Amino acid sequence: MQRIADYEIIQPLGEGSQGEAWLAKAPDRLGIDDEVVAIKTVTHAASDDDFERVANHLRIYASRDSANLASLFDFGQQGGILYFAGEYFSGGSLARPARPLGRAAVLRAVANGARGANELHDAGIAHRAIRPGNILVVDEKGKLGDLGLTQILNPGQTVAGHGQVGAVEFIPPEVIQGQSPSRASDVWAIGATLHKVLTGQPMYPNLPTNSLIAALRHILNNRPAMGDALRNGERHIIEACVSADPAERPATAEALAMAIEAEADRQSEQA
Amino acid sequence: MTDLDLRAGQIHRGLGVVARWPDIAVVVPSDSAHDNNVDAMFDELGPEPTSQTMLRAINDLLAAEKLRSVGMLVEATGGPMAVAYGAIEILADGEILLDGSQGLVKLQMPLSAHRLTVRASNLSKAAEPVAPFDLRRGVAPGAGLTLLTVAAAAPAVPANVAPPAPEVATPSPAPRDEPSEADFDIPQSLDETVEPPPVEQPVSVPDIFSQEEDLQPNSGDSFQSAVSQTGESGMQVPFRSVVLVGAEPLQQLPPLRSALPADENGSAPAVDERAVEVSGILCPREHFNNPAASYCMVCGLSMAHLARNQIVGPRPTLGFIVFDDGATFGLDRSYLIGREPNRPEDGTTELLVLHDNNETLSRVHAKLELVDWTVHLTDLESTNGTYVWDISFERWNQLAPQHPVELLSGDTVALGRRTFVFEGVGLRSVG
Repeated sequence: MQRIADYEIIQPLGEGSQGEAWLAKAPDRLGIDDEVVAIKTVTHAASDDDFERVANHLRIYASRDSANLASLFDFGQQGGILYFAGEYFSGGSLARPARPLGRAAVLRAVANGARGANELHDAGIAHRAIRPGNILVVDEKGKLGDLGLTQILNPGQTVAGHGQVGAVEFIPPEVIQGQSPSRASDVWAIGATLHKVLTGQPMYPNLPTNSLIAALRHILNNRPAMGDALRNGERHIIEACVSADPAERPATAEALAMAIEAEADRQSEQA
Repeated sequence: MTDLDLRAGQIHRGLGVVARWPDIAVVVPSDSAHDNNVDAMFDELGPEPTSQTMLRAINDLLAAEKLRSVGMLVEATGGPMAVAYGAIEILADGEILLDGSQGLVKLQMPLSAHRLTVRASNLSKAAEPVAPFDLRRGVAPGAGLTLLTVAAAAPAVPANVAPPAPEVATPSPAPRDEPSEADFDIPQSLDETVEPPPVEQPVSVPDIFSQEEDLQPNSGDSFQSAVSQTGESGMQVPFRSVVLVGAEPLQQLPPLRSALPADENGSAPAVDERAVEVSGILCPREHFNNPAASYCMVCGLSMAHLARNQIVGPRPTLGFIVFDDGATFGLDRSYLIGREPNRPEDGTTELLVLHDNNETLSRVHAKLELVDWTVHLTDLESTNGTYVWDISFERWNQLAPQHPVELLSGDTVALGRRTFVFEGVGLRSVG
């Protein structure tokens, strides 16, 4: 691949649950200082309705112009492909940071992501795809990126078709059962993200990975187990986030961000 | 219009470039060591390559070892000529006829083939997702291309489209466009051109795919329409774009309420099955449940010994369906399922658009409908039928058209060749 729309591709960045990603040169028409952008593609025969629904979500997202959200520059369609161009992060994501981060820095980066999610919630949209790979890292700060576009493109869809089975732990049981995403479902995903980045372990250690439907049944019939590597304060926060009853989770992602930051402060003081 | 140009083109996802021009279809899988040379090739070809200039350019690149793999179909007398070199497979109606792994090979494709596929041979052999985008002219990202005769795409043709005057497929009158042995003279050629199977008279077909506007950007008022620059390479695939730098939403949404579902339709009219009220019972923690359920669907507490006082409340989700590719949909709403369903006017049913490489799905295939606390499946007179797996007799039971059946948790359903499993929440299950 050499080109997507008027973006000249520099190199592939890999394949995610939603599609493929490339590093590309930013075309002049965007009027931005960034010389390169991350461009993602999703193969989807989008109707005009689909295109506009996504465009509206992305306009809302982009208009937040927040330090806690990765910048989005451009959205478009070329043939059967939708593309999204946004800020490129050389610091990687919490799933794969370019440099190792201290524990307190990890907590603060997740808290930044939670604040970003809260801003989206206040603007009326749920993120739907929070996970370590979608919290980008820049100067030890976190930024939430990559809305769950598969789900926006296909109303009612809760699990994208081609992700890793293990990624279902970021989806709360009520959404697997068919409820639409909410503040509470994003709060679950932030808690699961925190668990993953602090322990490196899945919350469902016995999750069957050979069949998606078996994995979904497992999640509906089992409670998440907290990894041993968690400190007490961290465990309390995560356990609250992954309560089966959405009403028992932290009421907002902002309240959750504050709890995570307080834990980071406590750890910094002890160090 | 030659046979090749009459065919609709679908792109297989993957790294690489696919391109079409009149009489030509080309696939070049990505290969980082040589990608610059592919650029150079397109540069050299200019915007209007002919079969001949195309073959020559590829000939030169292969001779100079600047290209590791390439697959191509070009129009020729007696049927499309297929050329494969490197990690390329060329298929007719699903059968591999040509494999370039041993060196350059070519073969005349049968005129009778409904589907011709040129693809990178590392693409999985199983149902590879194909972008349902009819590439007619231009370059697009992808690792393969399937060309369908209009006959193969026939189910999509509305019955009331009057066919134009029969068009007799004639050999291309311009000899310069025809590839010949002389034009195509590459040292490591291993294969002789194989005689094509008996030529079947091509079906005369309405030329429904040739409209240029198929590829034009849709420039609605709300879109900033940008047309791809004709780069030095001459690549032109139109695109549309919404610049988000400094964007303002067209319409603000109210903040999400805690624990309540978001409206993924944004400003579009909300599909709201959640407003449907049903009669149910409360678990000890006051979660609203199916009166037939033994355990609470939210907290899992037993409801076996509860006084079964029914109250009326908004219906919660009834479960979910998981398709063969893992795509999962929640049953907090009803769905109209098909290849290309139209939005129903009642506003309470969501569209579920499925892709199917084997063309076994109807435009509107089936309906999945929430009725009180049950999920009903109805076949909507689909061509290939709707089936439910019968676990006791180990066979597929076909649904009578327009005849709703109640699904049980664990049921497997087949729509054409696509399948899904229904997982109910607090419902009776299979077996």
